[in-house]
Amino acid sequence: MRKPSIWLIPALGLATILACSDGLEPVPFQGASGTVTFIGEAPDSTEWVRLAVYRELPQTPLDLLDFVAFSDTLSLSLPAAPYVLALDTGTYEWLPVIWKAKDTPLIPSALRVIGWYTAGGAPFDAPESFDVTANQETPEVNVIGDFRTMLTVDEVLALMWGG
Amino acid sequence: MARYAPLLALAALCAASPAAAQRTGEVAGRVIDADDGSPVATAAVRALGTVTTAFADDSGRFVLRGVPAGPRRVLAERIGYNPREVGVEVIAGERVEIEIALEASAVALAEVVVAATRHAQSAMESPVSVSILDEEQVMLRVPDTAADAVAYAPSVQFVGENINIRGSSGYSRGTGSRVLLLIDGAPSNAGDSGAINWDLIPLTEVTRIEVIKGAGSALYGTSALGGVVNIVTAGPPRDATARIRLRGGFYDDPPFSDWIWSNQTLGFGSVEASYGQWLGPFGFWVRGGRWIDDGYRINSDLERTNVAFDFRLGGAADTLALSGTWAREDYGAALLWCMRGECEDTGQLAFQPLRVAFSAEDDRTRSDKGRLNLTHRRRWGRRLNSFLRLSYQQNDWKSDFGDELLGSVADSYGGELRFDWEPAAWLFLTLGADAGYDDVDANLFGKHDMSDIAAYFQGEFSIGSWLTLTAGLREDAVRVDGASYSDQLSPRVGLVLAPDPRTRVRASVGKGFRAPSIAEFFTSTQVGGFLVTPNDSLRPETSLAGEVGIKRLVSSWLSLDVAGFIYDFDDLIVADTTIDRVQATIDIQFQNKPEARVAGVEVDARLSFFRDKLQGGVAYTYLHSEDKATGEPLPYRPANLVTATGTLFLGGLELGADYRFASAFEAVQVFTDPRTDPLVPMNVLDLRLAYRFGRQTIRFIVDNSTNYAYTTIERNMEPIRRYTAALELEF
Repeated sequence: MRKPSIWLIPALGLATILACSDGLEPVPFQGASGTVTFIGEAPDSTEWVRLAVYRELPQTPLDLLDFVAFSDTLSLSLPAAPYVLALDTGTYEWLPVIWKAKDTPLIPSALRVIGWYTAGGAPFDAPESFDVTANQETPEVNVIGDFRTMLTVDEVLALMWGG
Repeated sequence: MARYAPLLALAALCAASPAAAQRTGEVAGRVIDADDGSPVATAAVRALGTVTTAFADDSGRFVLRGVPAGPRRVLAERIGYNPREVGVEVIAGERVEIEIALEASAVALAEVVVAATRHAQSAMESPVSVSILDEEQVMLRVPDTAADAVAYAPSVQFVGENINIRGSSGYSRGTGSRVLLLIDGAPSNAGDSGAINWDLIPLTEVTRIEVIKGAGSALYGTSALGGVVNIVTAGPPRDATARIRLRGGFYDDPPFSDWIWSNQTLGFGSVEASYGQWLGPFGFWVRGGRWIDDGYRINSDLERTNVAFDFRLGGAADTLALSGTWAREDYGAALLWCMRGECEDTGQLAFQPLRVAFSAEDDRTRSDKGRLNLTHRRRWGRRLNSFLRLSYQQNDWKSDFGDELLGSVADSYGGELRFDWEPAAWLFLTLGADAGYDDVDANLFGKHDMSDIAAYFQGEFSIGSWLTLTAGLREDAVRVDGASYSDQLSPRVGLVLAPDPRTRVRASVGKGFRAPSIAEFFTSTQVGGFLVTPNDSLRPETSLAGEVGIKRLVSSWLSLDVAGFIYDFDDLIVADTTIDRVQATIDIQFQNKPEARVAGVEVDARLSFFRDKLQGGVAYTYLHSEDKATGEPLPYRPANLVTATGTLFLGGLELGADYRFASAFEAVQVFTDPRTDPLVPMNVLDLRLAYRFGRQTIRFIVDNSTNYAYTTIERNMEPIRRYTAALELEF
């Protein structure tokens, strides 16, 4: 048996693997970022306040739980709480600020909406959509949350669709 | 009882053959190096057709007793030498003197292994696959802990803290290991989680690490379902000997500038020292070590202290030994790397693999572990040995995760009584019983206890000079919190065929089991975004495991070991994981998976060229894993594993390289978005240089020389390139 032929097999295999294997690399953030500016005082009963993001505007109360992503709990100690939301590419039509009271179940009727992303910045104007493109961060998607106007989901639907 | 009847009957038959013992003689002599005539210590010598193995002492002397009279072939083997058979005429009642000269070979396969059958034998004669790391191989890469050495054994991969042998364990943050750690034969997995504490091992005193692949439950019971790692420490040195190992180095910058998190040089270092000798009938060694590591990522710094001792009284025929280790670790507990928005952002990246969230930067764990092991070995005449062990281990840890303070104290007590009996030259019997008791008090488990009482039996039957059969079984009774004994019977049979001195064919099949650890039963906590809920209805997992293999010394420069294996699991315990997007938690509960399979093939080749000046090895493992209910692959199992190593010897200088490859997992459990949590292969090349002068050694190591960035579990990057220098002194 000739030695070199055996020795070359693992050597070539090693060289091939080293040359072809891709490791971890920096991955650009893809999603939306901005701030949530709060107006008014958060109630003592507050458990959390978060952003939720939806592909489409809600049609029924149950759609409130059909979000694409939920932000981490927003800091209420800052006048403008920063947020980031990692998202797939595409258009997102609704970005509301959701409030939840302590000791309540996570059902649409127990949640309150205190504002959403709008073109002019007013918390309850017509919702403004935003786009996420590949490997890009969509910045400055800023939202105002108004603790003085905490809408139920039925009130949100009425405001959007009338009736 | 009826199921034990065949083996008991066989034992009785063997015991009733005193007449055969009268027709035996002794074979004694020396094993020497064929080149220079120097003694070959620890060579394994065996008369073919018998199960008796003798080991050459420091002067190469051996004595084989009870060898049946008549013409016999005697086989001598040792790692680093070609095996050699010589013919001898054994005369009843007399001693025959022979000399066996062995030719050196870097690729020979004849290491000694204990854990495979619970008594010392040549690894060639083991019915199950084993990998052996000798003292030099253990220290070769200047390991931080023994885990760093074991990681280079064929078919072994570490997935986070979990050691996987042939893909046995997957990943569960160390909990519920399917690999049993033995330290000098004593079970040493933690009593609460079943995890392995590698820092308990006195590394500088390790003389051999045995990795037993396949289900070991027939001998060792629970936790040995996926294999056994036996750490064999050295006995006290004959003459006064002091050893010092100094080690230091630093981490390189990360491979991408956007990942740099510190402008400091991040270093590490350790000092270990030991001293030992025999004083008449009393021998001892004591050692201590201290480690400091800045870590290569935020909050991965570590401080460790380890002290250990080994006291022995008596000689080869009657030895009392007391050994112990205590280790303390204090380290940053980085659970997950940070995603955009959770930590300081550089470059607007989706994740920062060397940073953790601001909220986790102060998370820490402190642990204290200790073990005491009292053993008594006695030789009762020529054919009977006894072994008694009493052991105690404590695992005490506390983790501070900001709002959550977690902690556990586990006291583990163990005992074992074993007899090795050789009623006839062709038969070796092992009979024993052991018991273990874990008492756990933890704020995340509660107060619980678990006990395991077991009896085991194994027989090795040598049939002619070409076949050895092994049959054994073990019965375990496991009880949790004083209720519901779970009986588990673990039989195993194996055979080794020896068609010629250079070839062994092996096959084995056996059942294994693992009782859920207390952590798997009862953990109830919410920490770092993980919500773990208890499941007290967990059942023990079981397996039916089989393998066939062949070892062959093909030529003076090539040896091969090829094996195929299959494990069929029932009730495999897995950490069932779901992400609750609303509560922003990762919900975990340990559950039984009805049926799963892991099967594969491994090839281990050892090579040597240029009169052993260039030595190396390549091992490849193919793994197929499957959840039989869904057909999906099991998480955290790579399909392909490769380890390759090579060393060039130039006088006192050694230049070497070690390579490990594991293909990307086909499935993971928690974060599965390929964009933000890409699965990549492990692809690590280490370089080393060593220079020996007398008994002293200087080493330089570059770990991960290509600075390859990879993970084995999600959101946890493995170490980047680092440079290490070490000085090993012996006086």
